[in-house]
Amino acid sequence: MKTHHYLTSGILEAYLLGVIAEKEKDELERELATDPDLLAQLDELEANMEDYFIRNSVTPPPSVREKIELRLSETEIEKWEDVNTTEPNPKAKKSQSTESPYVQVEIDDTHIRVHKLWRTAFIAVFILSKVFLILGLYYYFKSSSLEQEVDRLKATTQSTHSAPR
Amino acid sequence: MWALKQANKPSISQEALIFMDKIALYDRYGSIAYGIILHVIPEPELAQKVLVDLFMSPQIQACTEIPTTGEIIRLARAKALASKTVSNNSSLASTALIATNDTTDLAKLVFNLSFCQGCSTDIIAEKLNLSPTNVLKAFYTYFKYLRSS
Repeated sequence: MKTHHYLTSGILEAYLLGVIAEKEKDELERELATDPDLLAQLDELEANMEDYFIRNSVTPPPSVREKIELRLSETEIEKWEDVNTTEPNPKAKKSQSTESPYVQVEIDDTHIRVHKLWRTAFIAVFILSKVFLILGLYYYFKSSSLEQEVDRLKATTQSTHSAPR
Repeated sequence: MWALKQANKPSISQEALIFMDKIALYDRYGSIAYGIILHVIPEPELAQKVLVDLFMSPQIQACTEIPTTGEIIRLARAKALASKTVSNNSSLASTALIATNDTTDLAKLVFNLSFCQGCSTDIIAEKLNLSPTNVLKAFYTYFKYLRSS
């Protein structure tokens, strides 16, 4: 009987919409805790109400999602900064107290970073080394062939002078 | 090596989860909430601002754990009513003037005054010359009408 009263009085609808008075709300919640049938009816009504609001839903413009994402990111950054400033690591505190102009960071990779001018310098040194290598080889072979030529001429001259007249 | 990172602060993965939860919640309930807010505040620009505020509010955090449409409906309505300008609140009198004797129209009017305008049951009863019981009954009539239509 009481369940029927709740079902037709509009109290359940008002409760789901959040427009019910505190006194009636407390009374209904007490009843819901002891009456599983009423609870089942409330669930069914909630499902119907959801259908109504889903039918009346309006897709917001994409800019709203972007704004929420942006504000969430900003909030996370603020939280991150707050945590970093309020609870400093003893090691970090020690390093900061040395007043070094550099910030010490943990690096896990094996690469180093150098100024980009080093790249040009390295290429120039590489090309020059190749040029000098080629020139060195060229003059080495040239001198050795000249030596051979000199030796051959010396041998020819000696054989000419020593030949019987 | 010294590390500026700290071991005892909230983990990044936890923060990222909250971030993703809120976005997922928005993807799922954003259109429902926007529909409700537009119901209460029929100005798209202000409604969008309220929608952003709603999904940034601490109350929505509770919904990210066990999301229910009912909770979103109540939060969206409450947020929209809180952001509604004072000038809009005076619409009760003008709305009451168009009250009719038709049960469905009356139920629709009560729903509008209560859900969209934020008027309490007692105020509606007084303005429409109804008993508080009949005001509540109007909610039942309105949703019964919606189910049958």
